[in-house]
Amino acid sequence: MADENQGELTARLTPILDRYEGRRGVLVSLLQDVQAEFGFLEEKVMSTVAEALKLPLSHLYGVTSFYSQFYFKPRGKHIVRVCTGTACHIRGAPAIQARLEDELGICAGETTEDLVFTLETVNCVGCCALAPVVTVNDRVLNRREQRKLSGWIREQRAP
Amino acid sequence: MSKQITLNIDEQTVTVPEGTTILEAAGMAEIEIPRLCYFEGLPPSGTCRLCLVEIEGQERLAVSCTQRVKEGMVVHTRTERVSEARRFVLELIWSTHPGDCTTCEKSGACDLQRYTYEYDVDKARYPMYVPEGSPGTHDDPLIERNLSLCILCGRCIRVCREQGQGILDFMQRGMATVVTTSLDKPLLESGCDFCGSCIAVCPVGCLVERNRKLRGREWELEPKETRCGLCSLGCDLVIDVAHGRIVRTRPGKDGYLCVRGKFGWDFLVSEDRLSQPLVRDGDAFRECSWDEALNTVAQHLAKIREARGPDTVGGVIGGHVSNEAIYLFGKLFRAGVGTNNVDSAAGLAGANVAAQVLDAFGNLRPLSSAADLERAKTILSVGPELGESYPRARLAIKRAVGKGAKLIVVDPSESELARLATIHLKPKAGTEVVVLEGVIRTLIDEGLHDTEFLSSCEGSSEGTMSVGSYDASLTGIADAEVQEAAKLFAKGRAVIALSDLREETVARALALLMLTGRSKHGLLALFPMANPWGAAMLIRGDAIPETAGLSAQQMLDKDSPIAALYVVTADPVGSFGGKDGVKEKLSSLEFLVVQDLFLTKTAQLADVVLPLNGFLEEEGTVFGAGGKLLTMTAAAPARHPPLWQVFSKLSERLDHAMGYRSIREIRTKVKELISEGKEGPTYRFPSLTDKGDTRAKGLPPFSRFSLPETSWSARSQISTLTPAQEATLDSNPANTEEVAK
Repeated sequence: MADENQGELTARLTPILDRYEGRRGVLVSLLQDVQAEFGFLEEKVMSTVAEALKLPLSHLYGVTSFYSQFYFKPRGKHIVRVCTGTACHIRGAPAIQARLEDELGICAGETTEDLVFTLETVNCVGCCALAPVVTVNDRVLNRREQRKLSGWIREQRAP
Repeated sequence: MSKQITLNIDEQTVTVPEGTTILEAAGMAEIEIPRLCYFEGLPPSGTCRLCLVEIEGQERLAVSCTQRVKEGMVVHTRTERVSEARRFVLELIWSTHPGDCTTCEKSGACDLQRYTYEYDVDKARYPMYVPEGSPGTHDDPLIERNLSLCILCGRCIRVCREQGQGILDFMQRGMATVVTTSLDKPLLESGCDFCGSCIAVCPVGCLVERNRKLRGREWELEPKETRCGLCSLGCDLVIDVAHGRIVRTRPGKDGYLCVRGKFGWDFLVSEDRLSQPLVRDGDAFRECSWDEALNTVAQHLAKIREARGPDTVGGVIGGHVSNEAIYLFGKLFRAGVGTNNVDSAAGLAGANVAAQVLDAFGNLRPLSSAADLERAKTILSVGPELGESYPRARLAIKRAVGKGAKLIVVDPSESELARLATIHLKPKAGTEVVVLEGVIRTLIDEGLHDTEFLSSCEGSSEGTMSVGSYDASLTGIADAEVQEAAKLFAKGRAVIALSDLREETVARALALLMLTGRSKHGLLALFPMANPWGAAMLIRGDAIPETAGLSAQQMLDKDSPIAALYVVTADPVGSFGGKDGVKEKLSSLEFLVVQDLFLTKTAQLADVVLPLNGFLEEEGTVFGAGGKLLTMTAAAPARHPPLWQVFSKLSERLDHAMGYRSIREIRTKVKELISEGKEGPTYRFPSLTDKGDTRAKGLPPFSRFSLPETSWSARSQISTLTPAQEATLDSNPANTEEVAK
């Protein structure tokens, strides 16, 4: 079973590793591709990459833990982000964050146990005129969609 | 020779090779530039900014540990501007270092403490910043990591990459940066091999030995240089003693100790050590004086010798003790008792490696030290998980490979060395010998052997030259791979690193050396004991009685004529368990004396138990891995009379005064004996078919390799030790359970 998983893992990693073979200074790009493939950087994936690159595993974690774009825990199917920038803060972001935390049963930065939602805060999305801003899977919700968010969340969780 | 550069540092003219850094150049002129992240021997990182200096004509201060010298450069290391910059750096570092110097183990040897004092740093200038959720002390064995004291110099990261397992790095970023393992796991789960190199380079109290705590302050430590005695490599070791107790050990000139040298001596300070001689009193023991104990021993040995003859008395001594002790132990039996029944517990091993080497080469010149191994161009490593068992050898191989050496690894497991290997020959466990024979066959078939050297050898090389053709079906390794390995092995300065010490493996390794005419520094044989070579060479000494003596194995045989036995630092019962009737034999003896550090299973059967000094507590010489005499000093306070005095006194009581007044006199005698054996070398081919005087029991002879694998002990896959080697290892209390609890 373990070997089977390892085999599948290797099969998914090989094209990525091949793409960067023999090139220097590509570690971050390579790991971005790995994360895109697996959704997050699982330990087993990281150690397989380290072994393939002949780099210490600690070095890979040193690099990836530096950037907030890398994740070490599974992420939800849907990424919900609440902007907590100045404009959004004034226009009620804390209340939205509290409501979403309550509805999802997690704190910002966490993922629901069923792996459906990840809730995050961002510092600015760059559309302060639309404040308070909430994004779902990188798409900014308009007012109407925001109002329907709770219903949508329940729909996604329905069995 | 590289180009020389002349520059001026603090009004001094300095000439150094091109490529030298300013910090190193200043050091050569005995100008010390303060540093926290730089550590000699490690690649510089330029992170701490304490080594800033002023260079004339350059507006910004320069980082002297990374900037290289230029012709005509004028450097100032102590201007007010430089001092101000360093003070600023120190103030920032100190504002995140919530340490309390009064209770810190590192106090007195802490670089941060030293520099803050030297630069008169005002602690109050910046408020103390301890990041939220700051990691406290990590719960690791042996090594205490108090990360709140970390100043992020990164020395431990670099040293761990160079000579550890590379498990550390800077994690996170900004003020949250910490030096830790992947996912901040405990060291045990991160692949740490606990060499403690990180402790040796840590400039502050962040990394300290757990077992040194509260044993003494830095300024109370008295350092003494000696050698590690916990395997046959004999690494340089410095031991720090305070208040008559060992506080810690640290690496000597070599800059590296493995977990054994760094932490493995702790059994010496165990509460369970024997403190007094014991004599049997019915079913129990009672403590007695040394005089009473020695009298009892001498009386019984004399009585049994009278009643049953001297050849019913025997002695076995472990492979950890010094040449002087081994020689005198031999003499006690040969001259004092009058029997040749004296053997080294190292001789209990199925593979009598030392005897095989001496028989083949006539001297110890073929032996290689760890340093020789580092200079090798080709390395053949034979033995399962050799690197894991002997980390110093792993480091040497890693360094050699780093310098371009080719590495051939014969190992059934996916070991650390296998990952470094140019060629990894992965045989089915137990078929290593077949692989070596395949290499031998290829060397001969391809004409890669040294015919000139072969013609200077005595005896027949027939056995080697006619070795059968390689059978890939036995080993699971293709012909081509073995041939490639053979061609690689034939080239360059080669060293064979050997931890598989079975007689048949050793014979083939020796044959490989001879075939390729490598009579010097070609064999690094790794033993779990300090002095296997001394044991083999000196135990027999100059035989006085004419009848040949029994080997340790023969003496322990249930049908042996032995009625009285003296066992020094070996635990056959603990090692062999119920096998071969060893316990029955020892229980049925008329008289058994055991001398050891602890009340071992063998000692529990004894009539008299004598306590023993440990390896750091007794002086003497041993033969190092390279065949040279190494001196062990009595670095820690001795608890008991040294072995040579015990043997002398016993001999005297048996009416044979040895007449040695000091261990130096014995050393002179030992050196004479060694030089007598140093006639011109005679090379004799090892026999590959005839196993000769093998004391092996239970080891399958080579001809039985077609046996189903299941008949092989599973241990052979995970351990290179034969039961008897484990005997000696087990008698070392560092490895017994008693100490573990």
